[in-house]
Amino acid sequence: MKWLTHMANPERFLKFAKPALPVFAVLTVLLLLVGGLWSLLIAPEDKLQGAAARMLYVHVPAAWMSMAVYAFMAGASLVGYIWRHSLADFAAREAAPLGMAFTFLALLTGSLWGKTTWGVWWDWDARMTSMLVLLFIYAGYITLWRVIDNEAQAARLAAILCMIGAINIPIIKFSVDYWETLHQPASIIREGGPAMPPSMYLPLFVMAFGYQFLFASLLVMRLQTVIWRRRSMPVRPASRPAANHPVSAPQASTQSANANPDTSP
Amino acid sequence: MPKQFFLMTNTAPSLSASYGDPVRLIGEGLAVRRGGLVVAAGIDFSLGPGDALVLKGGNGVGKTSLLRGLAGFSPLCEGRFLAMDAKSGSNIDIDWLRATQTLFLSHNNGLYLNLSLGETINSWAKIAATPAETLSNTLTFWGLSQLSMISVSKLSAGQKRRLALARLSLRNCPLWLLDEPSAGLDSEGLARLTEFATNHRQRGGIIIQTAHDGFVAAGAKTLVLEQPTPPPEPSEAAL
Amino acid sequence: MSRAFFALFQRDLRLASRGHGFAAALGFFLLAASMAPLAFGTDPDFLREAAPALFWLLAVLAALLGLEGLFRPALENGDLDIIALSPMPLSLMALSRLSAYWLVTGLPLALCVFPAGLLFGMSSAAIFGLFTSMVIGTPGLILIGGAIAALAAGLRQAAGLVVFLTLPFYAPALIFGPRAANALAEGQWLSASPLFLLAFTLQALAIAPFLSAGALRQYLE
Repeated sequence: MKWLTHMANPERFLKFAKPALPVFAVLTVLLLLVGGLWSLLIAPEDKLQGAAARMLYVHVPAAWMSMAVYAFMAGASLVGYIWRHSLADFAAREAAPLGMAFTFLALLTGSLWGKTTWGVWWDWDARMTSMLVLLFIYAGYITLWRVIDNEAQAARLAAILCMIGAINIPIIKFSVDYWETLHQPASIIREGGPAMPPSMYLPLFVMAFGYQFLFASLLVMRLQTVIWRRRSMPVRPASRPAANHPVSAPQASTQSANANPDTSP
Repeated sequence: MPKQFFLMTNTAPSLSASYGDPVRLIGEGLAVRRGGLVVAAGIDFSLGPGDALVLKGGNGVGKTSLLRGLAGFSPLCEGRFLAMDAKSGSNIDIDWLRATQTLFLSHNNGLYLNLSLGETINSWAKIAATPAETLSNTLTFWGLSQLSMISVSKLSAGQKRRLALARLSLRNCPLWLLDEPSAGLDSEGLARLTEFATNHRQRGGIIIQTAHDGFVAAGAKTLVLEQPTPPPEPSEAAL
Repeated sequence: MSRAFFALFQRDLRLASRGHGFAAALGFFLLAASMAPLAFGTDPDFLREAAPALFWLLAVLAALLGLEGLFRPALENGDLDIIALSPMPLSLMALSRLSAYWLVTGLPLALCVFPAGLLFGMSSAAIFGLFTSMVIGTPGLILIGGAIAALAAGLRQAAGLVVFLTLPFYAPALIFGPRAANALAEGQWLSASPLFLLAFTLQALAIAPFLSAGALRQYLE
């Protein structure tokens, strides 16, 4: 019975993935195309930073996704840990490299933006510093999965690490924000300020949705691959006819009657 | 090992009174995995107070895995493992049974090499709130009372095993899960173990043990595990 | 249960004091601290300024040195099997071991700032502030690091892995530790940094025993 529910979920997932993946893929391409053209050609230039500010449309959604993917992983880990739902474990595992890639993209574009705006590649800015720490946490999570051979064990241990991260990342983020206020007052107006006009935040949102569907498409593809690969593996004997041979042995006098416990509740 | 210390007591160092409520253990179609592979399957047994079950079979058949599965360390992947009150037949929570009524003897004894024998057994006794008399009787019974200052790292394999077995008297638990209990014991130690186990069963205790050779509880039911069928070679498509 | 916990704690304290982890940690801290001026130069003002940050960084690294071996022996020799089949929850066992390790490593590390601070020409108030900040912060370091060491307890050669997995989580301690030291040196006991450092330790105390227990249980199989 347990085996059935265990297998039923990947089945259901594959049934969902087959029609969903093309929809996700088309939406990804469409949104990224529209968002990209809009933000690069139509959206207004920044008064101070000029065209370089268009980096915002690549950088900000990537930074959002880096956090959102971790939140997704934490949720999946919790489900996998509590209900031993192996698809959830794999969802967390397969999301991690994507999250790390978004984090890396955010760091890279942030660094390029910093070079054009402040003239330095790296400027211990609070957001960038927390992104860097997040990158290390992603790397640690991926490493832990890789060093443990036993998949079931790895899933549960990685889930615990993910939960440590889920509790600590907000603390780290807060600490780093606090740390920055000690060093430099926020003199440069940053992205995402309250005064952003609709001509800027609309393409930003289109891009953000594009990133989300990109993540969804890639995750579904990776999970499909995992399920297919496990299927092509030789099926392990889950159940065999009775392998034991109870050998009747002389019963000691102290033994009570060995009644068949069919009457047990 | 000076012989006279063995001769000081003749009775096993446990209380002569029986354990509390008698327990019946039932396994139905149990199976365990080791490293993802099902190693023991279709295990059935029913054990009442005073019964013993010996798991036999060659290396790698899953004797220890099954014992650890019964202890709750690894999940039993199939079947049911139940405990009930032997008199009334009412169900007993298996996790409660494991936490309060079960003792496990693993092959590596649970000993820290940088503690002395006395520190080791005294800490166990303190954790289990064992009466001082039981503790000293136990040490005498196993011939360990003169060794309490000796570091565990300097004990022989047989002495370490005696120390690990001595722990079984410190808590009053009716279910013993013993992995190769006689490994390393000399003939004197084996005689002690036999007496000790018999006393445990006379009090209504249950023993589930593995045995390659050596000690087997008298009149125990035997379960011979078979070599698991190796999985087919992974096909290239899988890699 | 409290009696059993105390007995276990006593044994863990004995084990921790006989292990080599704490000697490695203290030796590393004192040696690295006294070698640092070779790299930094001997400008007394600079050394005095840099000391709290440097000592916190060294303490973070020193705390990591012995953590890898915290739970591994219990797993290898079967002691964990015994605890798992006893009324004592594994989380209490983890708590006992982590607190014993703090008493034997974290507290002496904090005490090490007295000689090291003198080498760096710190005032007694500054040294005392640093010591207090470490007493507040090092339990958090050891609790978080211990939970991650439990994750790697069954792996071979896991020392590097434990450092790699743990260091990012030490960011709040590195941020608030030296600042708390300075704040405490000025007598600002209830300022933000020491309180945040305390909060870091308390959250670690709330989660680490349970997460360690969850991790160790995976290796019982």
